[in-house]
Amino acid sequence: MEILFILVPISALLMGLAIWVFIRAVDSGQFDDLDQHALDIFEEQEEQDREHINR
Amino acid sequence: MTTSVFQVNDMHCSACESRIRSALKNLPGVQGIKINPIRRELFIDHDADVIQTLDLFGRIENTGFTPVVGQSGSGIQNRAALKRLGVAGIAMMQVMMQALALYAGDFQGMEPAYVRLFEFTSLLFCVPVVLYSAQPFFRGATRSLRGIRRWQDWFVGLSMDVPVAIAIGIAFSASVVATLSGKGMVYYDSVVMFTFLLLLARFVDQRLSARLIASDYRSMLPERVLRISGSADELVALRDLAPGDLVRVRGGERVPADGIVQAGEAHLDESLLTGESDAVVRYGGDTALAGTINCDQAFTLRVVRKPEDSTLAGIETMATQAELDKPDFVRRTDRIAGVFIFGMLLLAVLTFVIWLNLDPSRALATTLAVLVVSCPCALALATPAVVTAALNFLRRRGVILTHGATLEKAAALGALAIDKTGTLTTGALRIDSVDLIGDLSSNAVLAIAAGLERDSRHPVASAFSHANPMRFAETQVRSTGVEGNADGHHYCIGTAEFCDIPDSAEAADRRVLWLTIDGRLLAKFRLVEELRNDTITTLKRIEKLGITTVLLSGDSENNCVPFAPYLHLEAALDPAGKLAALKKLRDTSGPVMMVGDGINDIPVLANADVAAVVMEAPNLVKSKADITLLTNHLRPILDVLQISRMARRVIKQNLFWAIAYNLTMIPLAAVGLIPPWAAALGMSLSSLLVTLNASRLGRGVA
Repeated sequence: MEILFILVPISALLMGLAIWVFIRAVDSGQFDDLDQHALDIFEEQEEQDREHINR
Repeated sequence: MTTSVFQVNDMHCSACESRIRSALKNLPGVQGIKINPIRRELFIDHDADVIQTLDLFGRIENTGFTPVVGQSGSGIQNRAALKRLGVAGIAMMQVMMQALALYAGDFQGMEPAYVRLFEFTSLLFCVPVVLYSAQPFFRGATRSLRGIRRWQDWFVGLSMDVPVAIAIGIAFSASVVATLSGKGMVYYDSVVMFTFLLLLARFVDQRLSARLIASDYRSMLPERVLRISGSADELVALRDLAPGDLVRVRGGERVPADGIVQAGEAHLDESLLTGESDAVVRYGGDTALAGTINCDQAFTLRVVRKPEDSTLAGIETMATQAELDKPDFVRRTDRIAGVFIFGMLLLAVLTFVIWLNLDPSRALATTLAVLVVSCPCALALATPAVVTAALNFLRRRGVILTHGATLEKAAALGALAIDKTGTLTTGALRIDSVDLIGDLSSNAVLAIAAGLERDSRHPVASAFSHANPMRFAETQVRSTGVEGNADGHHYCIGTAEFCDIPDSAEAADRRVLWLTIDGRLLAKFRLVEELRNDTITTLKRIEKLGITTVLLSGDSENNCVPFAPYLHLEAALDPAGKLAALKKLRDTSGPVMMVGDGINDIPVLANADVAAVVMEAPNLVKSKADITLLTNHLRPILDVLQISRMARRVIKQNLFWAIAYNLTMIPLAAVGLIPPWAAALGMSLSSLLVTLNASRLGRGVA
């Protein structure tokens, strides 16, 4: 069971890493607007349509 | 006078509000303060020469809040809230895992070295939760305590954050002492779980109200507009539009400002304003309103008002006013919650003292459980969330309540009095009778009329669609009539004014249509309105709610006959007669809602328990109204009746839950039957429950 003295600190480090990644993700703004992205598919379609017409 | 708007996101209870209010109200130059607790907005009317927005900003900051100038500075606030929640969540996973090991160790025995290891790692993860994630609670609590000036404030001025912060503080410090000394219980699991779940409930509440509230009018208008200048079109920003500008509105686009349709016809979806999704046709010379969608071809619009003065913006302002006006039941629960907090703090102290004498080892755990379980968060959330949900649901259906208290009154109605026959009909017309003035047969007259109206999409035209039309080379459709030439004659059909008919009682009646040939009168059509096809079912559903519907009409008995089979009729009434009929109705059926729109209805509207008027009514009439209807349909009235009753029911459920929860849990906690972690779980879940219950409102209403 002595292995716990190594494993628990390692898990603690991993958790610290997780927190760091999460904070970075929030700061990058990817959670700012959770509703808009559902509608993005329509945007892209319009662009494709326009390209199609141009060709 | 200027109005400054601040977004104050850390103002989340009535104690915070009164604190800001008292700090500002006596300042020179401040004339009025309004607070919208749901959107967390602060409106200050002030004299800009005496005190400026920046000074006000400083004053608010001095009281310990963080204001943002302008509305909705919630983006950055949202990120911070999310980070706090995330850190607490990740830490909670780790701490709970270790707590499980420690609990198991309690039963099976565990070597002290491992106990110390788990305790120290838990402490490591608890530190960021207490110092970072739980910050809003500590800041809220200090602010609340600093605001106490008089002894009475202890009873009403304490915010919800005080017991929360005390509980987190005590539990954490006791655990740290236990960890360092190696003696006593640790409560790291309770601390992180309590913080996480409370933050979650707050986060959900914030997001719900943000979603429920339709954001401001600007987000519903296009950002860029095609302005016609000279020969070319140019893209300009919405705010650069000025009255007089010509704008091209393309198919699928929203009309950017109130204006006049220049030429041709526009098919507009006015659902944003009226809740009615069928497109309406506006002709050259007609008004098109900002926010409506162009469903057909592009048309040109001459801007009449700037976007910020549009009808849409006016509606938003009215809707916001209603949110500011707290219903009585919200005020009552606020006061109860305030008194409750002080009482609970006393009870916690009492519990501690008693348990210290009974069993000192359990005194701390029991006190913590009492503190946590008793937080009246659910009680405070129970009503405001429901009121917001109801107001927003009605707003989407084209109904605006001018006072929040109207919701309470509407739930108790027993009768409905309608003045407008337009509320019951489609606006589509059919021919009731034809008066022939010239020497043509009625078929010939109908053929001419049908030929003229063939290209018109005006509701009047549908009345002639069954006749065999005469051929016209060209017709010109105007908003008040149609003219055209055939066989060397000039024909006109339309209102008396359009056809140059001299004034008479009949000429003013818009249900009479005139047909002329070369300026000579040919025939007169009397039209009647057709019942809307949902009118009968809607009336039946209103009746099923136990509400008596009466048509109080000033019209002659004859004109009201089509409605007779479906509701009670009181025709040919003068204003005094209407008033008497209303009083009689109230005596027999209970509180009355009156739907009307004319100046002559003012005495009746003022005497009704709930007064509803349509948007087009004169301002004087609207000032008497509790409800403004954006369409003159019966449907929204049914919505008001249903939603107000539902809201009353959901509020009762929420209050029942909150009170029952506190009444059962507090004694259990005080006698030591509830461990701190269970208290944390129960209290935060019940806050979440009432919020979600409120968001349920309006579901199942077709």
